[in-house]
Amino acid sequence: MKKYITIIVLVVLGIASGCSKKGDLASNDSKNASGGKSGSTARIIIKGDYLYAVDNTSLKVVDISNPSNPSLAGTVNIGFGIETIYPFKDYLFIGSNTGMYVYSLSNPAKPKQLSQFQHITACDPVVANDSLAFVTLRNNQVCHRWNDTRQIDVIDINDVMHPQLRLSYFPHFYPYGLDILGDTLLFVCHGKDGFMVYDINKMLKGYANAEISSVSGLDAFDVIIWQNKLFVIGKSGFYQYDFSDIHNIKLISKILKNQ
Amino acid sequence: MKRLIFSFTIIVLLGSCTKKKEETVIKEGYKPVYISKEQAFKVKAEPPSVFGEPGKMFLYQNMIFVTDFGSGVHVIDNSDPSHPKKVAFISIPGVVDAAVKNGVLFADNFTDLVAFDVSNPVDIKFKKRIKNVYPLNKQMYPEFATGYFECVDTTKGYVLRWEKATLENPKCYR
Repeated sequence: MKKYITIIVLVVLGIASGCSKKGDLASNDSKNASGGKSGSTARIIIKGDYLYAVDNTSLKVVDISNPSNPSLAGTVNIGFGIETIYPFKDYLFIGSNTGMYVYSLSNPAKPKQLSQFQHITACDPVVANDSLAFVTLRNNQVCHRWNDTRQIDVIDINDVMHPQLRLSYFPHFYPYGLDILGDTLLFVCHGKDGFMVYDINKMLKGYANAEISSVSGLDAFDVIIWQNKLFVIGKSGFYQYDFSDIHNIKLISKILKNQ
Repeated sequence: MKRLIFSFTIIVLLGSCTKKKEETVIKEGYKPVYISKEQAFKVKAEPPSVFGEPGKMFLYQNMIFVTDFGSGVHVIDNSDPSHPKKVAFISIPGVVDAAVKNGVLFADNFTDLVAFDVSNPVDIKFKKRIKNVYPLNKQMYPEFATGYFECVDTTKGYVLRWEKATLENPKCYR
């Protein structure tokens, strides 16, 4: 019996505000010139005149300078278990089952690998702000079956050539997709356990519990902060929330599965 | 005598081996649901549809694009966030993810990348297909699960999805 390469990896890089202030609307929008935003579990992203798509082992570069007439511009081989892709400044962060790759887009048609941050074999959606990347690791079922890990790694990316682990945070539930609001708030999906908001400063100070608030009663797989609202998707459906009071996140509307 | 016992043991062992081979092994696992290669590449805009397997989302202006794993992309008008309204469904077999630029939506369709003009959500137009952007290496096993599964027969088409099944003598495992 052959074992196939297991492991799903979800890398995501959340908000990429150019300034390190709160990831407000302006910086969210500036991140993506197309005027749109992908979630942390994206496999296709758009940056400038190019679309970048990952498959299991490689990165495809598609020229969309004329969106109605796209053309394949190149392929970059990366490795095994590639799952997600996130643009941040002039970099692409690519998640694999063994770590996070950082690619330079100084030539956007030919992404070039700068560095790789290795971690335990696990699922790993990622988000980043100016100085830190947050990687969620969960070792249930497909991902590294033998261990039971629920972990958020905080990685210092001030020097993108040498990403360094700053600390690991251990949430109560399995973490999935995530998004980040500036330097302060981290929104993390927890599958059937809904989603939770974490205080980044408390995390950095080593608090065992950095939770600010949580929402349950939904299956949450990925979250996007967009136009000052929170958009969440999961097996149970699609939801949008008002989080102007972070301690009292209010449901605005939802579209449920089979609806 | 010793030799006799030894021979007997060998015979019993051999017997048990043979017996095992004859037994049908029943395992719970997954089996592939196929789509023919002709159907796999039929993409088109359709009226709104119910959420099947909501997967990923892309936010663009006042629009929300929700990928339904393996079947297509829901186009949702979110001008009134209290009442988001489904306005169309783009049927794209095998789709995993989608993104939009300047009113053009890009999505994966098995091996290909397809582009649709979604600038007018009630009149979505197919624009272009780029063939063979993706390899099919993820088609060979259920990537979301471990355990037994029915081996993929590529002559039957592409794997649209995997469903739970009781398998007889499954030969594939991960």
